[in-house]
Amino acid sequence: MTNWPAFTPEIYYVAVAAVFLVLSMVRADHRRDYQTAVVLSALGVGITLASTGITADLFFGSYRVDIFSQVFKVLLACGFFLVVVLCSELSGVERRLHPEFYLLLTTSTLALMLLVSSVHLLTVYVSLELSSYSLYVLVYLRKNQPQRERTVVHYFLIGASASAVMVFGIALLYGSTRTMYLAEMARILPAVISQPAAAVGFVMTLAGFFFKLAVFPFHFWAPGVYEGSANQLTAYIATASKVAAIALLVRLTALGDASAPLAHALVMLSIVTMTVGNVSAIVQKDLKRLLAYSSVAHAGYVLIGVLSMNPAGYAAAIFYSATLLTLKFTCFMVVVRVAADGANITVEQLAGLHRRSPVLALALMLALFGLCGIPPTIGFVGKLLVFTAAMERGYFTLVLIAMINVVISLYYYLLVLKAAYLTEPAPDLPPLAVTVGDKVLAGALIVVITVFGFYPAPLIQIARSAAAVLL
Amino acid sequence: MPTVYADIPILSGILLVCLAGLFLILATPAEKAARIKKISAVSSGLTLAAAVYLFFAYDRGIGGMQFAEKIPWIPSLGISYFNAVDGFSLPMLLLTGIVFFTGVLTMWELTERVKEFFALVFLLVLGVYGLFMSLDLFFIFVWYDVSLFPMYLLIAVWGSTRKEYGAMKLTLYLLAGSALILPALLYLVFVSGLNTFDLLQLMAPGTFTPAQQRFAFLLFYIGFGILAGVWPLHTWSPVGHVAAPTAVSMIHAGVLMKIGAFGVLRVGIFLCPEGWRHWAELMALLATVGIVYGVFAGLRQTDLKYVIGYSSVSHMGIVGLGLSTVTVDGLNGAVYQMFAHGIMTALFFSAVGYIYDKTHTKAIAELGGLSRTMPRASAYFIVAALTGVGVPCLASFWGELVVFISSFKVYPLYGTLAVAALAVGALFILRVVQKTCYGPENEKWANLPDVSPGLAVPRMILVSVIVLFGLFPSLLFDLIRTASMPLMAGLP
Amino acid sequence: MTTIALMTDANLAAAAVSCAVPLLAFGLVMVATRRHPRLSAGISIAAVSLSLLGAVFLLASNWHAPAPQVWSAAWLVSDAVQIPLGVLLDPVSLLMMTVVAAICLLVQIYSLGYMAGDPGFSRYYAFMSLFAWAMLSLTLSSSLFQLYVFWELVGLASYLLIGFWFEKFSASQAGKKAFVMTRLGDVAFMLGLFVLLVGAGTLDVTAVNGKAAAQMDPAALTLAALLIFGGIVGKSAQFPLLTWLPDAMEGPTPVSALLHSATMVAAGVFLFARLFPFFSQSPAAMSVFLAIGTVSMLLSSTMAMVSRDIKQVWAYSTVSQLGFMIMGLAAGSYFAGVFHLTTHAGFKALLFLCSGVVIHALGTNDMFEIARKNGRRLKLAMVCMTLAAAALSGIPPLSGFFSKESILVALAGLDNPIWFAAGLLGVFLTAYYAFRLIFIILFPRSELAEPEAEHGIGTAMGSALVILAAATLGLGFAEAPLARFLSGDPAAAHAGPHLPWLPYAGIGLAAGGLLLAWFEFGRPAADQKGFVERVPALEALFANRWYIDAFYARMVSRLVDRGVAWLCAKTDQRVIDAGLDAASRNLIRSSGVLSTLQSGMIQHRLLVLFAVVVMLGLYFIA
Repeated sequence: MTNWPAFTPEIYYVAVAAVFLVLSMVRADHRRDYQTAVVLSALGVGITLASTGITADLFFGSYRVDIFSQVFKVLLACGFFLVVVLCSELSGVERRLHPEFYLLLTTSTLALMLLVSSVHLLTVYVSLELSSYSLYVLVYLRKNQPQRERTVVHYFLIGASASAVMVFGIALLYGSTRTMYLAEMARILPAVISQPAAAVGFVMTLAGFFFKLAVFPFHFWAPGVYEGSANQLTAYIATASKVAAIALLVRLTALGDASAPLAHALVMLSIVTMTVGNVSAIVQKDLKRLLAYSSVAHAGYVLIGVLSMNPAGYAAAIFYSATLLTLKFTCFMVVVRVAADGANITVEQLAGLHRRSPVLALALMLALFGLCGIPPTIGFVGKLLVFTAAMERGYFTLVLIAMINVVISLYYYLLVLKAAYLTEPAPDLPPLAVTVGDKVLAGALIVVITVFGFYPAPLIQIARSAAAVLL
Repeated sequence: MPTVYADIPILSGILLVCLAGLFLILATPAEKAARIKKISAVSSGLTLAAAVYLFFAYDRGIGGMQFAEKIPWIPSLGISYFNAVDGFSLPMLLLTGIVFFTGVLTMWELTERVKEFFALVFLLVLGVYGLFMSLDLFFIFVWYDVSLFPMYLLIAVWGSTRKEYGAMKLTLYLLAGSALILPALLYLVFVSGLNTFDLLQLMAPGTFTPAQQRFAFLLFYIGFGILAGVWPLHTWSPVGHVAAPTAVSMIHAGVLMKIGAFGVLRVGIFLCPEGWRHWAELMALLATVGIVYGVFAGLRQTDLKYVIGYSSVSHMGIVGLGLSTVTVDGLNGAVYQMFAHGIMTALFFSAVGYIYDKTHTKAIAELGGLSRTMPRASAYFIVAALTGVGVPCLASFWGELVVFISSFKVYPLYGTLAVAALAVGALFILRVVQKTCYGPENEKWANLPDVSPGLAVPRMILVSVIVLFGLFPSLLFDLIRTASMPLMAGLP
Repeated sequence: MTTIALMTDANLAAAAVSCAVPLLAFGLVMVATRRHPRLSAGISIAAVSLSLLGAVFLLASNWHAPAPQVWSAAWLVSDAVQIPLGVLLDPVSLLMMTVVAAICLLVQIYSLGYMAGDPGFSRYYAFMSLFAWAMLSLTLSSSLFQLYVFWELVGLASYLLIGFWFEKFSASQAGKKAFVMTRLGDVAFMLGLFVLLVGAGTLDVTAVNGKAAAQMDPAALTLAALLIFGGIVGKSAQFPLLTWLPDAMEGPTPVSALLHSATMVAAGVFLFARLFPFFSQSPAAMSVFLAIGTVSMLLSSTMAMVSRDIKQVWAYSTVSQLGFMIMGLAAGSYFAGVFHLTTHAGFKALLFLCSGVVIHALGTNDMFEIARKNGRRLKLAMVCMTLAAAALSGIPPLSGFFSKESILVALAGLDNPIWFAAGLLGVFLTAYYAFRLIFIILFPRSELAEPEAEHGIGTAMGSALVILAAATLGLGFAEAPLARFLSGDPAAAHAGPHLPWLPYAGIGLAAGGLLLAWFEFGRPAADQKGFVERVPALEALFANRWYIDAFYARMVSRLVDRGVAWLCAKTDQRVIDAGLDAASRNLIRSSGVLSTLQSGMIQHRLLVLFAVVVMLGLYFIA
């Protein structure tokens, strides 16, 4: 009786994974791999888009397909596609390993898709782990990175601890509610949330996603991993996996009511997270490290939307995930293009970008202002929605602190901007290899960032309707 | 106050012209500097024409909001695209038009990264226009930031002395301001419970309790006040002015600082009259300190632009003083002074900018005898200086006079201090004039060219505007009255 | 003002036109005819002669109907603040207007010769027209705000003209000094206006002179009077703001003539006369004015006694004569003050124009130099100058005699004799320094062997001199009619006690001064050293203007430049900016610390991780 059509996207990505499995066995040819990857991922976007309308319950109600999950699947597919597009010169990974790279990327995406649909704590846990494990391996694929073992171990240890905490939390939740079905839990939890066990369990369950989202104190992996993994992979971690994490955070917090202690705990976490992220980012020289800290800070902002625990807040968080996807991806596109040899780049290496590729520079500028939340960019709308939600709950101080954080963050974003726009390029630098495709892509991103920054109404509608199904 | 809707959306027209100009410039290849300049001149001229048309087409008999346009924008949040002009915003639009147009013309000889420069300037002015005409809090904030963030690049790329420091300082300062404004906006929107960002709906009496108004107004006053150069939050302005290139200084001191004062008026005073009353004393104090402080600090400066920067601090203090009186006269004087000061500083900076372009120095000590070598340039400088000194029949005199009278009635002490600052102001500005323009001919600058007819055009425009409104102040006062009187009458 | 009234009413039309044309001339010259000096001069002279015609017409048509006439229209309407633009025709304004127009015309004609060939010829005439416009409009202002506006413009015009030769440091310095010092007075003036406005509720001249002020509370009224008088002190260079006037002769000599006779400094006394009824309502204030007038009169006379620069001597004499007028007015004799103002305008202009001729011809201001270059050969100039000097020192039958005498009468009327005594002393000193100068030039000790070639002075300059000389001779006899015109009855000329001996006292003292001057400088045996010069300390004191300037200079540099200004500038750099920069630096430093903390050993990080989790747990359990 399972409604298989509703499961099409996941099946499709399984197939894609299979394709790359095959490819990884035959002789490697990175051109071919790249083209297949692009085509397949593009198809994936189409399929997920097609499947947005569907609603269904699968696998004995442990797996839910609804507008909420489908929206996120679309976002994930887009993220996957965009990252794949960046892989034309996958110089951060050895040629022969390219198929594996794509394979693991696909499995990870698949896992995230399962994640956003799963409404049973076990499925949640399993799919979360699946995605994490493929990422651990992916990080290891980075070539000529002396410290990669160290990075991976750190990543794995922190991830493992997070999972441990999460499992413990799940256990506690189960103990106090006697169910693993989120729907069930939604009915029972409000009654028992006042009990410490339930509350603690609840927060601990969130830990897994705090880890993915790099919320303090689960953020320690971020700088190292961002720096240590191939640029394209970093792009993926910074976009797709974050999106899924936000989705689950929203889905789970939708269970608990806005009981004071829970909300306060989250408020604390979000304030500490955004502050730690922003303040640490100021002195970073390595662009990827800087972006890592900035995503920590953004995790803090997202939490504001989540912890508001009202429809507006969830919609805001959903919108914010899309925002992050666009903006972060734009930044990493610049990183990938500037670092032609796949090495890490420092902020200084952006010097004279406005000469070497005006369109990339413009995209970068808008992305940075977007991350900083300055209108008229999509980033501003994201922040506005988040703050509006918080204000509905009356968290004025929180919003004020967040705004102060925004000012701090402006400082380092401007430093990046300065490098890109003020300093002249070193004379011996080769002109950037920016293909027509890249130009088009950059242009598209610019349009998305600004147009939806000015007229976000439709996106907001989608986010709201997605959030609506949670309640 | 009635709201008259427009048959043709002239206001949006202005914005669209700016946008069109922006896109045209972006579309033009960077090599074709001349074409880019032509495009900018034409489109800025168009906006000016529109502003002038509005200035005269506005029906002063009816008053209130006119040429209104309203489109629901983000219904779920009660945000709508709502533009209209009244007696407060019209002078500002006119000011923007004039300064924008003349600013573009003064940069006619720019050679470095022309395309980006004009593109950014257009973006900036787009924001300024938008802010002056918008009646929706969301858009007011959006426009506010749109007008701010191009400043960083404009100063850091094309600026001069300590440009990166100045640019960074200015941007952080002003963004810090908006960090206070946004929470305050959202706060009001939510305590109102109307789920709308529409200024006119929110300003209905009784929407907010006095306590809420006091709280929000303080945030608005600080947030916007930073941009208005309120003491002690003014230190970005001299540094920024010095660092910025001519046109940017013109637009910045001429228009952006007005945005600050206008924001206090349009958002703070419109929404929180009670808060206004409550904090008036503080405003008056800070404003007076600013007035006195500005002139004295200016006395010590050795850099031409610093001098003007501090005089701006002082003059904006007069605006603040006017606002702080909570009287119709105070409002009229303040708004008039905003306009007059805008034109005056624009002229000031355009003159100094020319001198700097030719002599490559802003150090007062190195200049001198310019009235011989470049009589026209120094003539503009002197006219601006005299306006700054507050000579009658030059625009800014009237604003100052009215503000002084009204403030003297309300705060005799502050009024007296402000008037007394006049004498010092005269001393410090005339000193600069004497050291730069007068004195024996300076052989170092002997063979420098004077302002060419082409470059004289924008400056002449500014001079004639100054004289026009100096001789016929009622042109503006009659207009401002149509807004200030109902506002004060509507106060509980 | 309503256009209808402009059309219909000849008086109003004439007044408006005669005020407006110089402005038009100014605009025209500035915009159009900078390149054509002759044309510019023509335009501005035509304009001012038109004004003179208008003035004369008005004077004539109102000669027998001196009832004040007022027209007024809104210039600026805010809310409570309303600034009208109006015309007030009454005897004093009509008289002043005529004098101003006449002097302006003469000076401009004279300048044709004097300024010939100056690179800034057109600019000069433009500023002259500006000056004429401002001053004429000032005389006709119907409300004090309007008066203040033109008052400031007069200041502006004199700033521009004094600093006309801006290459000369001293000139630009003097211009700045004049502007700033008068501005100081104007601050008081403006505040006075505010007090008056708050108290009386109006600034309409007739109202202020009438009932409006009467209802004010006396303290406020006195305050207002004193503050407004501050403006007069500034403009008319009275003590303690008197030092800008002597420097103001850095401008071209015709400018000094204009400045010292009928326009700039006269404006102050005119304001006094204009508000005479108002001021006289506050006896306290009036006595202060009397004292200030007296002090300025005596101080400046002493300064004049030791100066070697002819223009400077006349400048000091201006201050002292203005002091005289203020004494007269403050003593309660409206007519005396105005009459002296009128006559003084005539002979002071003459004095300066003559000196101008001399300076123009011999290229020096130093009286001994002039003597050595036998300046006495400039016949016309010397004759006129002597005539004017005689008028200045009050020798009958010249105009100065009559006006001074009427002031003395007024002073004698006061119950405190000291004022009268001071007046007499002033007469003596005036005669002394005036003729000191004359004798030094007329009886040179050493002459150049061969006399320099006689500079023919052009008809332009000459005619001006002759006309003024005629005025100096004749004006005195117009006393009675003027008295009738100004204050209704001819007897007003001799308000106060009728003392038959008084004229003789005046004449006697003047003669005394003259004789002393003759004894010390005139007679062949004299070594041309005045009795003051024999006392070095005294001479130094007088020559250094009683150290008033030095005092101001120190005040400005100590108190303003190195005091408050330094403080403000430093606050900006060291407190506000430094504070912010320090804050941001600390933020950056802490950022460094924080980021190193997070890249520590994995154990530590995990420790933190679990610690936080535990704390969260505890938070919920507690």
